[in-house]
Amino acid sequence: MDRRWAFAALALSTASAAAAPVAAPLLREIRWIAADTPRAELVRVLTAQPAECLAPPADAASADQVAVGRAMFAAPLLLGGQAARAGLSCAACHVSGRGNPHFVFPGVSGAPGTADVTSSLFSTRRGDGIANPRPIPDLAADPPKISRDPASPALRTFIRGLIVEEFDGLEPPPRILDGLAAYVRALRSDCSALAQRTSEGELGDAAAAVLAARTALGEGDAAAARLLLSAARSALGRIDERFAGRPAIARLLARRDGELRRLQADLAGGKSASAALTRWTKDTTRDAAALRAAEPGSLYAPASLERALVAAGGEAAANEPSTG
Amino acid sequence: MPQSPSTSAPQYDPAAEYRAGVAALEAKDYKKAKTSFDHVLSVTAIDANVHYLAGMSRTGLGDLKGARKFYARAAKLDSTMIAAWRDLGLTDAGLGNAAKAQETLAAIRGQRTTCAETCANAADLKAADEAVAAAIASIPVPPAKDAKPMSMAVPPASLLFASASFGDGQYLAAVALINERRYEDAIAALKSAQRVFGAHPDILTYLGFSNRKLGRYEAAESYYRAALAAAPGHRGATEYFGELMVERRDMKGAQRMLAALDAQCRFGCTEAEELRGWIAAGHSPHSL
Repeated sequence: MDRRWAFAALALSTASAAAAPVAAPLLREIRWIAADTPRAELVRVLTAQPAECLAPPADAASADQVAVGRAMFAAPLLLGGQAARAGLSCAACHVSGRGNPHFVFPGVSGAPGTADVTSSLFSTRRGDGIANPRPIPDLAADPPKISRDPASPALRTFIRGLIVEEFDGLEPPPRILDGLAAYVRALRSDCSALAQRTSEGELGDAAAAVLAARTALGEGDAAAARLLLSAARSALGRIDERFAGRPAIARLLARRDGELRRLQADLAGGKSASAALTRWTKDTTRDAAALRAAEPGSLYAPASLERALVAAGGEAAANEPSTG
Repeated sequence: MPQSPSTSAPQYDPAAEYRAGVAALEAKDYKKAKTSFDHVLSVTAIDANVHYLAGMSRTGLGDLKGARKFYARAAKLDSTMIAAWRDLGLTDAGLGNAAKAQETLAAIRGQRTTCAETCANAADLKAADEAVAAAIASIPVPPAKDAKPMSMAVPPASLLFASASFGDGQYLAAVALINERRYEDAIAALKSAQRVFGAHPDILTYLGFSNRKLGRYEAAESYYRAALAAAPGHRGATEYFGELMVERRDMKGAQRMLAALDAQCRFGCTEAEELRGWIAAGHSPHSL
């Protein structure tokens, strides 16, 4: 029975009037894309995203910090409460560090592209009892509300408040906070092109998170390393849902995920994992070829995704082009 | 020691059966409604609203004795369910049982006294009081030996069932109320949502959560089990049931819940990580 329940979607009637169980969407992020988005636009949004522009790092240490922040920015487990349960990460609202004009979340959004960051739906601490959704800012282009001066702790403090108070997440290790602040400082807006989403790109995200975990481990920071491995596993999950119905790919990704899960447990038990992480990275690099070969029939391919949306029926119906 | 909730797979999908029952009641197809609500009750029998609707189905079929049993059960499960008290009184009057109907009327009047015409349900209580009193007054005295039960009108379904968007609104409000630690208010909102969606596992899970936060561990466990019976493997119910086990110092049980989450959460999930944090800390990891 491949049926998920709407616990995380925070609306019980979104699938059909006939039954409360909500059919799993083809891709989790469809849940927070405005339902009236025309199908062609939906396909575009799900297969391409704004290119991510980052300032060149000043040195290796800065590059490491940005890598940590970049990995955690896309990791739902950084957040807590309902946001994490729904699978939201920072990147759900800030795609490639930009905004998200299609973002709609029940009880939190008004018009598409807005969110109420003082809603009790997500926060046990910051709810103000007022529905006041605001446009989601473009972190790369909009004038920053918070100083991004590296000498100032303001940005780091602000990000901690977002995680712990706005989204009820657990206190992040200092390395994670430093990384997120470094990533946000590095964002630039001078890339205007769209970048196609690919399995290779997302596998690269997983590998980069594992590399950041290995670096953290080398500096004795097992707590940060565990979180970074969670980010890597989330990246593998994003690839997995694009290859639905491909058992060989599913097995391959499940094996790599299982290895990371065991490494997380080893870290929690105080065991060393550096050598295993190096091995994992090598093995996974070899997996890229298999993913690439299968990609044309996957949900990374716009034509395949469109066919799947049509086949999904009810889900696609909400995204039919308007004939009005 | 609690059994693993996932061992009891449901024969019916209670939320789907509930919606089917509601649709049948709206269409006045009482036989189909009865079948659907009985299916729901075969999966989860702790929902007062489903008992009430099962009673309504029987009223529609003219089975007042059968209906009475379900109204009484609904009123027992949820003593604030005015409609159940009202229809229990009306049904007893319809059966010619003035003594039982008077008992119900006294219960309604007790609630009216407590309410003092100022609570949110004051108008409903007043209406129930008047309806049951009128029904008692219309019982023939003494009842003829060959008297048949009086027929009872089933309230129009359109007055009983709110829209799905209303249910969604109540559910969202409940989640926000939980985050504001207003658990009694959250339970009221969840029960409103439940009247729309039935034994939906998300609603049952949050009913469990709210009751747990109010220290009502047995009620919480019942709701978590009902959620897991409705949707085996439900992540939220598994996590929160595990947290309840930590609070009860049943660490082996909590570990079983964590193992269940780890087994089903491919690529990781926050529910597993939260419960792992609870087990490691022996309490909420947010209150270290």
